[in-house]
Amino acid sequence: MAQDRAKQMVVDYFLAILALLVFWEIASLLLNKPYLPGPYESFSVFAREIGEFLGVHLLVSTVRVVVSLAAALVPAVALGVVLGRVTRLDRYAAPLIYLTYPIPKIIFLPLIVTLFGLGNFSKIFLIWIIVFFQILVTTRDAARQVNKDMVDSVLSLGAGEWQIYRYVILPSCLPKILTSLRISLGTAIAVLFFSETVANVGSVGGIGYYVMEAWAKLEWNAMFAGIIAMGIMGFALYLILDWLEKILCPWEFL
Amino acid sequence: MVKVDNLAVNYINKNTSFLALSKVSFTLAAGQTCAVVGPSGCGKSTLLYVLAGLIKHTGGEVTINGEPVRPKRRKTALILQDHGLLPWKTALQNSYLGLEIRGVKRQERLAAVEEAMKELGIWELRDHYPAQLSGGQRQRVAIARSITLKPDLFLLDEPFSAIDTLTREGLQETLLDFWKKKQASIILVTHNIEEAVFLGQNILIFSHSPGRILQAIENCEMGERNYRANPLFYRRCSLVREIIERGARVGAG
Repeated sequence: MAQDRAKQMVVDYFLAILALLVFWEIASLLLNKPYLPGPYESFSVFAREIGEFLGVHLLVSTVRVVVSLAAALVPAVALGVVLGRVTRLDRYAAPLIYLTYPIPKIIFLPLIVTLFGLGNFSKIFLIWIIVFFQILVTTRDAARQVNKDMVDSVLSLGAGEWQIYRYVILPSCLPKILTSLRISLGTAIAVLFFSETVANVGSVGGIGYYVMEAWAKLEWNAMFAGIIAMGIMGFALYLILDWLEKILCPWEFL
Repeated sequence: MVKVDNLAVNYINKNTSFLALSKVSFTLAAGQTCAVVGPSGCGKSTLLYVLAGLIKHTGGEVTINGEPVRPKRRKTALILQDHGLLPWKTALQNSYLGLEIRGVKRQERLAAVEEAMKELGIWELRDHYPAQLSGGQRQRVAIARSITLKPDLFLLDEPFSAIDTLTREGLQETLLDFWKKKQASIILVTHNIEEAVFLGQNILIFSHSPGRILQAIENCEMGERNYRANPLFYRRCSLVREIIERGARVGAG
């Protein structure tokens, strides 16, 4: 049964990729301009470059995304479950969250670069402050909606407050936390691209830097190789999150 | 022994207050059963939550074995209408959750749970998640979880209400057998009159909100063989129904 599902998934993804490549090839043929090369030319450059500079840029970007997501996940989930359960604390924190959450944090990029320079930390920090709020708000809302009967039932078994978090609140919020992580991943990649294009130092700037460099040099095939690399990074990270959800939340897939 | 004396519970929320229970008094001897019946919203469940130490009462006195009621009393087990099972734990994990929370070692809790689950006929389902179980099976898991804690007081809040008639009667028999073997005290809240008469040695009939005891009935024949087929069972059901209806008319009037 599980094997059938896996096979079906592989077929579905294969067909989706094929459809994208066909669409890309047709668009390239119709436009017939150097700035939209076809998939064959782009993938040829990708295959050549991935073992060299592109691979290094890809690795740097992936590390930035993963580190910023992990660094945001832990405190956002911890604070979110507490705010969701302790109404009195949430009453004080909610106005602060609602005031700061809608501000587009990307606006702080100049300040962050001034404070922390052009290196890795400023990019990771920028992604961190954006995804932190996304995960925090989702987790807090999920913790608020935890079934009260479930909490009472576990309390009646003699559970303390810490055990309520461990046995009820956290597992109950987990599927929604993973959903917020998936949404945050898309945001993180977009913010990373932006920050890598405008704030860079040295030769290893990440995929955003690689794409913009190729664009500046009118190396269209290389630019698309960078886009492919970014797409593969996002896709791989999504697959990892899907896999994590299956491992951590088996009851959601019955 | 459970002793409730002049109990009152007043829910206070910002500027509003709601009197859920008023002047409730009764005594339940150790090893006896008591069924609480009454119209919806009459405070039956509130009474159980007070006895479980999950709600603080605002008036009167509640003692269990001579001690004031308190949260996390280790010998009290609460079983709720929706079973209170955790969807992310298997039937086995749910069954030993109470023991796990109390720090019992894995081998010991597995042994205790295996016995209880076999007794209740759900050992084969131990790797199933609650979503894969029927309502009756879920309730058996909830009962197994309580039994393993070896409580002396069982509090059941409409435990069989969402279950089909035949399964419900089977579970009532299971509970009765369990009570005969263990002789723990049971307080059962139900809106099902037949269930109250079948399982309650004492039947407390509650009035409309605020909940008060309209009448307490002794049901000494409870637990006798084929009690459900006994004409006395039906007479007692009629009596309980009549008292509830009379209470409703007075409440409406």
